[in-house]
Amino acid sequence: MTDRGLRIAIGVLALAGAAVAGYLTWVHYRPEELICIGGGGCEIVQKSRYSELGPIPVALLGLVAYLAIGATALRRDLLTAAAAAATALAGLVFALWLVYVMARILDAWCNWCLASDAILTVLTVVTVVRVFRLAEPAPG
Amino acid sequence: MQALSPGGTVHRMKTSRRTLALALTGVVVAAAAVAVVLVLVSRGGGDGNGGSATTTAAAASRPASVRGIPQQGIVLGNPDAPALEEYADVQCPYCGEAALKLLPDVIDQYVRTGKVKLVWRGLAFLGPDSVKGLKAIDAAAAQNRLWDVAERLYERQGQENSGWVTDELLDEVGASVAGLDVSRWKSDFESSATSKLMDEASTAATNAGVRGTPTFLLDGRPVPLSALDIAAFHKAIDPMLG
Repeated sequence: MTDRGLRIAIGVLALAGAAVAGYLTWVHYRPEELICIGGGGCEIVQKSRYSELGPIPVALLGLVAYLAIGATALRRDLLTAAAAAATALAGLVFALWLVYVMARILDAWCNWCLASDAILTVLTVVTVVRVFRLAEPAPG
Repeated sequence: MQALSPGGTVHRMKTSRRTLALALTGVVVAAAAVAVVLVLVSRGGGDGNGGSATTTAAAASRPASVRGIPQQGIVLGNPDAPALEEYADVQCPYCGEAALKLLPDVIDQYVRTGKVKLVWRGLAFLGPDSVKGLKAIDAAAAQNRLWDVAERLYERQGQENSGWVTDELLDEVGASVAGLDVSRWKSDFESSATSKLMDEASTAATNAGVRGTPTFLLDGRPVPLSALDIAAFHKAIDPMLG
């Protein structure tokens, strides 16, 4: 895939992730609007203490991260691509911790969060591939 | 600039590899540092559910006995399974023994396997601590955490009518149950839904002729337990289940 293709993929995935994270941020402040798909686990997860880092909703952090990663698609340098990959990878590791929390501590599943995790996984792969691509020698 | 020597190509590839290695190292190190900080803050931060718990919520978890089993209001387990009702008072010592020694095995062997569903029928006839404790247990039904709270309360059972069900103890119980919104739970102590559950259990006990606690009924039929252990439970309930 060309760098242009990778940048488009990053933009689209980041927008999709931002949409999910944006919705979860919104319902964090308006819990009565939460629509749980496939059971009531998302309500438990959203109201648990793990839904916040200090005073900041985790979903809001996710939203900011997705938007930041999406913005990196506008630039073509290696440093920006590496920053996107680092952000995505850090988010993925943290997301895995939250999956552990859902499975082993809360015993409740938030399908919106899992949707975000799926997007983030693909986004991480794409951003890392882009680092490889930009570090390759230019043809010729 | 088109005619690069082979040496120039090698040099450029080496530079590129170095750049890639540097970039990847930076990515991994930065990501690891950020992720570690996030996980540490997530594990240790906060003051409990909704900021209302006074004790540490870092220890919040679900009792192993009920983990992974669907819970709906007063019911634990497969909603279509035969109903095993438990009539109990949180102050009664035998109920405590049943909750902590018998029920984990019953849940493991009968509820988790879908043979029966466990239905809570909480009674409060021993005194004020019974009433306060029962409200706390029944209030957790609204969040599908009733059996979690019941077990955590039984673990802390005190001397009958000694005033052991204190607000501090309830804070501790609430903070120990993962997934429980403590402020909502506490405001539900006096909710109409909670008092309805208490009334329903009391009426059901009268109708079923329950004379003591703990009493177990399988689809309305008394389970004749000779002792509060799993062997006696097998002996009593297996013939009833057929």
